[in-house]
Order: sequence, then C-alpha cells, then structure tokens
Amino acid sequence: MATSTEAPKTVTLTTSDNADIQVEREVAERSILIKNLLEDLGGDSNEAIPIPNVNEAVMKKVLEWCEQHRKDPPASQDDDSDSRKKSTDIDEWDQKFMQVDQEMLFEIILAANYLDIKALLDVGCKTVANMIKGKSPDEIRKTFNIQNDFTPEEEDQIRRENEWAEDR
Amino acid sequence: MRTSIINLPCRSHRGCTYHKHWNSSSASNASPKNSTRITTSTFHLPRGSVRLSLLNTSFSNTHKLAPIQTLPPELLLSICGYLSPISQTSLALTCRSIAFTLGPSVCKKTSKAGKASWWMHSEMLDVLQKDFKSEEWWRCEECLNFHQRVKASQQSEESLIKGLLDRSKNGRPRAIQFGMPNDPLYILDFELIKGVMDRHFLGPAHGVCLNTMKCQGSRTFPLSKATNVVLKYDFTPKIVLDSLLLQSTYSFQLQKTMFVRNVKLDEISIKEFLAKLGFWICKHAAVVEDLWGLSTTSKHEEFSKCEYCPTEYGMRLKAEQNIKLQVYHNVGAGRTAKDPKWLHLSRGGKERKVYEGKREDIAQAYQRVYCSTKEEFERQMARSDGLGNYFDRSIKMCTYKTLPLRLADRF
Repeated sequence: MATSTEAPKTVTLTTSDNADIQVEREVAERSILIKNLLEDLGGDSNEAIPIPNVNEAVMKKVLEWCEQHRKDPPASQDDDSDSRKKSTDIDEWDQKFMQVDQEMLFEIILAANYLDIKALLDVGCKTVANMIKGKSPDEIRKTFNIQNDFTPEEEDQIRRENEWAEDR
Repeated sequence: MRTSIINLPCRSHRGCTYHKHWNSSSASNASPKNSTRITTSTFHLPRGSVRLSLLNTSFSNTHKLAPIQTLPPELLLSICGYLSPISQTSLALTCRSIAFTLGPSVCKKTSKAGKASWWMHSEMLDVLQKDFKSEEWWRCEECLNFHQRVKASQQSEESLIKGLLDRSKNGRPRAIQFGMPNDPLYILDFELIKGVMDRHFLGPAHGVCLNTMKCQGSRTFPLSKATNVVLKYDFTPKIVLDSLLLQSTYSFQLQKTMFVRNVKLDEISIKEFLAKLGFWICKHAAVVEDLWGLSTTSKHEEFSKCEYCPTEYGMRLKAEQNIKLQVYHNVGAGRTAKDPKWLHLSRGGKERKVYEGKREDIAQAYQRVYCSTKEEFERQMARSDGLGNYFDRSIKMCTYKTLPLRLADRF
C-alpha cells in the first residue's frame, strides 16, 4: 500500500492526437471513466490509458480543472435533482476557468460528459445557460453564431400557433 | 387570390399610446411629421409558394453548424435544466435542429395557446419584442399579441370583383381624414373598416383586430411666446348591433409655458385659435364659429348631427381655456364600399348628399347598448319581459337594464 512519504502515483493518458500526458492518479481519478478503468486494470499497471475522444489541448484544460478540484468531496447521488439544478451560480475560479472561446467551451462540455466528470459538466452547462438567459432568439443566434434555418413561413406559423403574433 | 393593404389609421405612431414604437434605432430616422406609411414591405410571398421546408436541406449544407447545434440532445437538455421556460422557448426558436431536440411542447409553456398564464405569455412577448421591428409590428395589449402595422388581407374572387366594381364607379378609393387637412390625426379608409368587420362577422382568422382602430395621443401647437395649445385626442371603436361606431374625443387646452407678470401680452383665445386651425371632425363639419352656440348654452352633453353623414358631435367649454369635443360616427357594417353610411361619410365637397337616417342616436347607442351583434340583442330580448328587464334567478337581481329597445330599433 502506498504511504504518504512515497512519490504520488502517476498515470499516463494518451489523447486522440497521440500525445502522452503524465498526471497524478488522484487528479485523473476525478474522471469516473478513468477511475473505473484503473480499477479494472488493477493496481500497478503502467500502461498508458487511451482517451480517443479528447485531444491534447482539451485534455490539458480538463486536467487543470481536476487539479484545482482534486480535494473536492465526490458528489453524492442525492443532491442530484434539487439544489444543484436550480442555481446557475458558478464559483469564481470556475468562472475564470470557463473564459475560453466557444469552441473550447463546448469541447470541454463534451469531454466532461465523455470522461464522466459530473461537476465539470455542470459548470459547463451553467456557463452556457448563463449565456442564453434573458436573450431573445435573435440575440441567442448572434451569441452562438447559429444560422436561422426556419423559413419565414415556418416562423409565422410558430408565432401564430402560439398566439404571439398574428399571421399577415 | 389578390391582396389589398390595410393601414393603421393612426397618423402619429410615435406618440400614440396604442401604437408605440420601441426600437430606438427607428426613432432616430423618424420623419418629423410622424408619417407612418411603411414602404419597406418584407416578404410578401403568396400563399401558394410555401416550400416543403422539412425536405429543404439547402441551409444546413451551406452553413457550418455552430458548436451548440452539434451537442448531443441529452447535453442540450441538461443545459435547459438551468433555463427558465422563457429562455428555453427563445433557444428553441433559434433554429430547426434545436427546436426539434427540445420538442414542440417547449413553446406551449410560454404561450397562452398552451398552459401558460397570461403574464408568462406577456413576458414572452417582452422577449420577442427585441427581435420585432416596430415599423412592422405593434403590440396589442388586449389581444396579448403582435399585429402588423400594414397588413395585406386576402380577398376572395367575389369580393375582388365587388371591389373593382366599387372602384370603377367611384373613381378612386376614399378615405376620411380627421383633424387638420394637411396634417391629419387619423385616417379612416374602407379597407380597414372591412378588415375590422370581417373579424367581427367571420372570426379571428380573418381581418384585423378592433383595437387597430384605437388611438390616443396628443399634439402641441405653439400659440404665442408664452402659450401653447395642447390637443389630446382619443379614438375608441365599438361594435354595436353589427355596426361599427367610432367615438372620438378631442380636448384643447391652453397651456402657459412661462410665468409672466406685469407684461401685457397679446392673448389669443382658444376659440380664435380653433377657428383658424380648421379642424375637421368629419368630411362636412369643421370646428368653426357657428358651432359655438352649443358650447355656451348647454351644460349637459347635447349632440347635434351632421347633415350629410351619420355623425354626432357635442362640444363643451369646460373653462375658458379648455374645450372638449365629443364626436360619434356610425361607420356601418362595412360589408361593401357602397354601404350607404360609408358613402355618406366619405363623400365630401360637392358629392355630399343629405343624410336621411336622422333618428338614430349614435352617441346613446354607443354608450348604452352592450350587445355587439343583433343576434345577441334579440336573444337577450327574448329572455326579458319585453321591456328589456330580466330577473336572473341565480343572482336574484334584475339584469339587462341595458336593452334600450327604442334606441336599438332606430338602428
């Protein structure tokens, strides 16, 4: 068994673009996916773990978050629905962490989902939700660079059906 | 199928309580006269050309999808878990793929067509308002809905032929202008009346909302260095026994703009001002000297009738500086442009003819009859004792005191 005097155990992760990243086991284990994999592989294997869905840049970003949150208590299953869902408050460090371009933001969300890091996924979703809040459809389109692919007739129909605006 | 254009009657959208603009950008290029005929018509595609849009994939091919559109559905839904229903609806309205993921029920949460409360619906309108150009839409608080300022109404072949016949005899389509001839407050044309009455007779899918005709606002005329005249006007339509009545109220008030003492000023009285202004309350009657007899003698509201059209007007001099005009028009049923009431109203100058239906009390009918259709009036009449009284057992009270039979008969 490992004691505190020993150097911390590390694992090697191989990202989709074939980069090897060395990381402390405790940090990597924030990801439930990696944790389960390591447990399945058994104690002291030094094999690199392939993460085929995440590239190096995103993986480094995700690990930066894991490093910061390494001491967080694991999320219990109970507080799943209520308190967590309602509030979109994000703590300060996470807010700064999420100040990245949109492509990266969505990559982080996808990676967090794949790696099964619930807390990071929540932070990502909250960040996106905050970007949407209080905006009109057109403002949301501009924020996310979404092309409006409704035809004018369809838009009219939706407005008419919902009694927001009258048909011309 | 052909279209005809229905315009708002209101000539001062920027000042009108009911037809206010909200875009700040549009306010800056507002013409000084508040003229409002909007010429930038957007997409006026005819009905027949609606594309089968679900098969039309050309959009997605030409544009790279935004990252948010590529999110798997479960992640999009977990983002929505943090959003209010209104924000969810806004998100769903951005593009087809997101709308598909969130499903059609998401809009129903914020619409009174679904289960939403009226204030949720109203809040949704607040959000949508940001995207709506106020040159094209106005928000009707009573319908909780956006209406178009200029609406193209579909006409059936039959009514189109009728319309052509009407036009060929009368030459040009007519409109009635209220107020100053060169800068009217309100313009009533037949298309609008027909639109309003179409909705009354044919139901909500047709025509335009009655509140389209509602207007309220004010104008200021500089009279001298120290005085202004403020005109407050209000137009309220009402449908009584299948006829469209229009009540218009004008109030002229002197307003001092500065405090003057011990200085002799040439004061013009409000009467003189009005006589010079040339203010038309219908095509045949302007506010001129000979109307003043009324104002000074009668304390009650007494109405005199226009000789040439179904219009009644009363005038009151509240104080020396305040004159109030109350005018009622009976516009008729608005079914054809040859409706005698409309013809009398719209023919001015040499074309005018003496109006026969002098016995109807338009003002009284406007104020006292609460049935919009004849059918309803008759139904209530049948239940009453013949004089318009009905004892309602459930509330143990006599109701229907508002069935003035003689008044209705004259209509």
